[in-house]
Amino acid sequence: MATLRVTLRVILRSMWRRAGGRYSLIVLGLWVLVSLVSLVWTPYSLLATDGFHVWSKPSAAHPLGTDGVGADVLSWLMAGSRTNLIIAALSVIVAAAFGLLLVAAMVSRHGALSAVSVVLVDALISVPTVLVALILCVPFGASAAVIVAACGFAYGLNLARILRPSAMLAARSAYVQSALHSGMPAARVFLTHIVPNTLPVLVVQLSMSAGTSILAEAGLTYLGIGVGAGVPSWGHSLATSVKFVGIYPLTVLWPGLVVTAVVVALNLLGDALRDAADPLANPALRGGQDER
Amino acid sequence: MAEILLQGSGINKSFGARGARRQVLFDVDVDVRAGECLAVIGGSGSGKTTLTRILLGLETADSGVVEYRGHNIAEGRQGLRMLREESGLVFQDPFSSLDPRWRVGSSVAEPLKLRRKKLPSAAVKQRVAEVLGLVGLDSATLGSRYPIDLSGGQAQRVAIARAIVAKPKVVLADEALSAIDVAVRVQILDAFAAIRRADPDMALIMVSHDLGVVRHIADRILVLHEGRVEESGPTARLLAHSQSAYTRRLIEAASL
Repeated sequence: MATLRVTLRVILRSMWRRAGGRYSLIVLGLWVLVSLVSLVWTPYSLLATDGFHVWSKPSAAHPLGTDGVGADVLSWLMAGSRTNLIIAALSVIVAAAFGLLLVAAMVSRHGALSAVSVVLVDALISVPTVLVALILCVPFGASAAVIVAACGFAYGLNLARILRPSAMLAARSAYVQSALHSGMPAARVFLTHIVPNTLPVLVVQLSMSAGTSILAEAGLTYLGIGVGAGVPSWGHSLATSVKFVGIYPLTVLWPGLVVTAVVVALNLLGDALRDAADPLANPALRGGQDER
Repeated sequence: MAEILLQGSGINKSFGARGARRQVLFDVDVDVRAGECLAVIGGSGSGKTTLTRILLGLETADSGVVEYRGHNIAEGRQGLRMLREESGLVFQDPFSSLDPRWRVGSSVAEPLKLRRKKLPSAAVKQRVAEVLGLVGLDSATLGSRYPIDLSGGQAQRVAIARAIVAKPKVVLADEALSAIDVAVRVQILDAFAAIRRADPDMALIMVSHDLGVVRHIADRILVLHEGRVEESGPTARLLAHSQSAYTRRLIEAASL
């Protein structure tokens, strides 16, 4: 446990040394913090509207102004941050689970399973995320769960395709052959030898997927197949204000800025984490104690 | 006479798609006894690696029988399970035989943890230190390092330690010296000699294209040429009185 703490400290310190890593840690830290705070406090209730102060400019009472019904923009963005955090986290979890399952099938020693899964991934990858979301909307209706399922499905396929070469390289290596010969079950070989050796690609791909899921949420909500009406999200804030961009551009600017800042942070996080958490890329990590 | 551990009879093996199949082994007979070092020698494409991989259950023969301690090792049989539990592998490229993202201590301990699941971690650590010491490496210094921080000779000695950590009855070293600097080969040969001294009943199968590197350690040599056994016998007799022109060419090439 103490060794794990040391390792985490080394990883965080290495990330902090890079400008991109520092930016991503600060922005993502703020994102998580704001999401947690919004659970117990927002400047105004989300239901509070003020018909006398619609489209008001930033002021001491409303730091980011108000929208077309006089609701506080900052409160909606704060509450929306937790919805987007949950969507991004769940999309990444679903994509990782689905993608790694496909990778396991693609690098399997059973020739038929491997061949079929490669063809299946190549065929399904051509289906757009929007179409998947539309299909899911028919029986389940528009919801955050539909966004998670559509993103997890699409990003899982991408992940599988991108991870396959490095996973194949590990699967055909002598150390995997030795582990199998020593009696290690194939599933454990996959999790302990193959997946860790795809980590540099995996980390970057998953962080990009998290960023893309935020953009997807915004896009799908704008199309009316995203989060339900009244559910706060950055996509919801954009969708409800984009029609009035000519009247009051600032109302689009705030959610747009937040989405851009977070997506950039997630993209930079992948690069920084890859370089910091991979013992082959980070010599500082190789100086620690045996932890396995 | 020591017990026969591994015995292959009438082994045939072909590779390639239908219509373009190429036979690489023709009715090969081979046996390995407890405590002996058998060197399987031959040029590139002679079938030596394929033969030993079949003997260790890493490949299956098209026809023929391989028995480990009297049990057939065909897939699904008890013999294969026994063989896997009681054998170790050393590959040509030391760096590809160690997981680059596992520390040396963890890599060496892996076969032991898999085969002796109830062994306390202190005992595992002690055995890892013991085998690393046997091949001339210090566990305290190298145990927490990653393969990237090792030299080729150190990595190969770690691979040897890993192969013997669970006290196997038979170890296969497939061209274990080929990727090693000439100056470091002596260290690897010393490591093999040390592990044989430590466990006199362990059989060692060394695959090599170079007679020069195995003559000091092999008790018996089997020469393969184009998938057939050209000649076999005790090392001293084979080197001094070879009956085969091909073997004599190998001896000359090795400048013996």
